[in-house]
Amino acid sequence: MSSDMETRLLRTRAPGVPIEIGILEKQSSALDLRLPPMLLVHGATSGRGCSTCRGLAIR
Amino acid sequence: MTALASEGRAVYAVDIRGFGTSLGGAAMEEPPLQNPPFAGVDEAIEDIAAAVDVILERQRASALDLVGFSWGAIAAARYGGDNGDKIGRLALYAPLYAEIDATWLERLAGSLDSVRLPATLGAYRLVTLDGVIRRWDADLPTPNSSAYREDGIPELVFETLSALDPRSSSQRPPGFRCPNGPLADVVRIWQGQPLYDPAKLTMPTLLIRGSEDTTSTHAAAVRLLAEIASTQKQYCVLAPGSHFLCIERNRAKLYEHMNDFFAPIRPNATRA
Repeated sequence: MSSDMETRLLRTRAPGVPIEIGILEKQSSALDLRLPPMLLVHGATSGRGCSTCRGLAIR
Repeated sequence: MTALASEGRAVYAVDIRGFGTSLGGAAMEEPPLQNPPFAGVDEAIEDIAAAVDVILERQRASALDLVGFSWGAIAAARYGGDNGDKIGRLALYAPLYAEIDATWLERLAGSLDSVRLPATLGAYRLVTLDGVIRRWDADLPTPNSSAYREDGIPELVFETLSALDPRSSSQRPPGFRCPNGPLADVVRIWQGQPLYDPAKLTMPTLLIRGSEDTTSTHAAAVRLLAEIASTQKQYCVLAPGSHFLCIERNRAKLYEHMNDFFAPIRPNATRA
């Protein structure tokens, strides 16, 4: 499937926690509603940066 | 994310508090040794829960698929085990599971002490470009790093992460702040503590790791696989690949396997 990707940064916080957390959303404009959403949790150093580096395309 | 989203699903990546776009908190503003390791798995669970609730509401879904990488696999497995109704499928990439590892304890904690955490482990550390390269190279089986990664990838990763810390460029050498809670958790893992209960993982579960990964070992993965409760479980080893397979030359194979695992439509996962 090939289509445009929409990317946005969502913000929320856990109850009682003052730190606002960032959640990056990436979805195709041709969303397949039969597929459940997916959440990625990063490693000890990376933040979600490693999975969002521009230039790290699959080739 | 793009590789996983290209199949037509909405993909989300959360920054646990203290990381990346979630940088904040008094412990990250004060000198590191003034506070204990910040943002360990207990705090991560709270942030994952908040993120899951936002995503399920936004997508009008009853459950989502969850992927954890390395320390993130600890947090994902803990959350998934306690919230099975919200997790359809689980992928643990480069999973860590209770395994006494003297080599890593010495390298990470500077101590083989089986009970205490090192006193030098403050709230956070500064990660430099040289630190990123040394950590990566330490997991490669050859000094020829170009066999595993393209030129410029460590620089790209460092630039991406340090751009999210406004203090990074003023450090000498430049370095971004990174919470130490995950390191404290990993020390506990290598002291033999599990930190999550695989008997609670009843959803379809994939374990996947690079063949040369010295951080997430084959022995630990095999033991974890045996203890996962689900009858739908797989263990996949990809070669070549280190702990950082997700950004190495062979990363396409990782994403292909992930997409294959998550491809089947689950009838109860459709939107409300």
